[in-house]
Amino acid sequence: MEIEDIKALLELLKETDVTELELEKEGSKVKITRGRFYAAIEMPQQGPGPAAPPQLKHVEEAGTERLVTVTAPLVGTFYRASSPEAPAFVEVGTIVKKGQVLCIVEAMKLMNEIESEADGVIVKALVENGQPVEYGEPLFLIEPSV
Amino acid sequence: MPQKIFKLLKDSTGKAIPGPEFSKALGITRAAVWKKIRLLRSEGFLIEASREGYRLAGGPELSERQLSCCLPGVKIVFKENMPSTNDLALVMAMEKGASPGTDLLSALVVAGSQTAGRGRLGRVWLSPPGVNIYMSAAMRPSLPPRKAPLLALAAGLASVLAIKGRTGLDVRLKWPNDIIAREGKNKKTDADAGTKKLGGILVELRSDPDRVLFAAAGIGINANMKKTDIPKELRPLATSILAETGRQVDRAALIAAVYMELGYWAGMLLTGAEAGEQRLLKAYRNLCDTIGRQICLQAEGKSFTGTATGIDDDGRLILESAGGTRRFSTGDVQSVRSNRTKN
Repeated sequence: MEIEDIKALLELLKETDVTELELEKEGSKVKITRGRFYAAIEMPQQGPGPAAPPQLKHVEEAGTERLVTVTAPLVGTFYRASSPEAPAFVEVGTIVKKGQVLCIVEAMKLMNEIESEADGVIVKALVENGQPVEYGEPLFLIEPSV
Repeated sequence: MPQKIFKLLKDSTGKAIPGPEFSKALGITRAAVWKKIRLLRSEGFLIEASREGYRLAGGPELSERQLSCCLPGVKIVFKENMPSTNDLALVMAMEKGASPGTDLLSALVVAGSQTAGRGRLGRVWLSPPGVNIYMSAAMRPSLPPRKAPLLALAAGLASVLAIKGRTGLDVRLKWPNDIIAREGKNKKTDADAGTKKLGGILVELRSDPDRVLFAAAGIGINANMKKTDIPKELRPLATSILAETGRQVDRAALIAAVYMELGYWAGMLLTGAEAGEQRLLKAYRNLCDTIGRQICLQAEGKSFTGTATGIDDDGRLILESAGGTRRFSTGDVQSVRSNRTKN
């Protein structure tokens, strides 16, 4: 596989919701993961260790006035994942893109996937999975990227 | 052109149509007619040619051709098999260049069977081939998200009215939108009378805070499934149109009826006027079997027992119990006793 092919693949994926792609061709293998970034991986170990990644430090220093609040656009039940077995759409620390699905609010058996309004990092998840939410209730705080 | 020939053949209900009649009706040569007949045959339709003319003697009961015949002008995708009609409908609703709010119903997706049919929270929806209805409408409704749940009620109402209209079967809705047959209503012993499930609905949608972007209304109806084909453990809970009426239903015609009813009832929400919403809610409440029943509601990981006294204007279930009155937007309803206190 040529570097040009990989570039083309990355371009192609930008236009889709695909977050992970694994491809094997003529003996070479490429794996692309997009839009997901778990802070846990980057978090400093307890005790002495590498410094926190700059972007997280930045979050701590930032005042809440800069944060984007994602609110429930309807009354319903809040879910962090598409099914009880599936992984959560986002965790604290996940880098999200505008248009990425953050959660589901269910009402009357209508599963409403809520999209992110901004590019940024999830800094707080405010509601527990399976809890009822009111119209306008804050669900996540996002630190927008500049 | 083959569609017109197919329609003529279908409408003649088994009687032969002379070749020249086609030529005259469609303004094409006999050779051209023959070519289209050959095309229809290649799609699996059995078309007999005799001295009297051409006669439709059989063929796939559910196909893109059959569906287009019932819904002229509608964008239709039919596949013998697909993972889930909702997945494809969502992709189609979100297709490149489509803008939200432009098309109430943008396409119809139908499958002969599904390999990953699902209900809410990833529950499996049994989807055997060749007998039932698995359909999804791709939608781009112009609605604020807080009004979207009413789409789920509209989809339930549309399904029930279409089934009633095509089969005469007395079907109802269990809140929010399970399609149930009122089987066993005269049986005193059957405590759960009227709760056999005939179909289910799952609406999935994408929205940003201000508006619905895209939606897929998925509808599964147990149509021509024999009672004996229903898994034993589900038989006390599930039924089909065939099991209830003893007659096969024309699936293409029923799908078309559901699609048209959905357009009608979902359209009521688009005007933004209170009157349309109220008409939808009134029609829904009339067919909602849950109202007035003693129920046990599984919600938020708990059980709530009480009387379902009504459905509010947001589509929520109003439950009155010793602890007071509560409104629910999510939950599984189980009826406790079949005697009704209201309605």
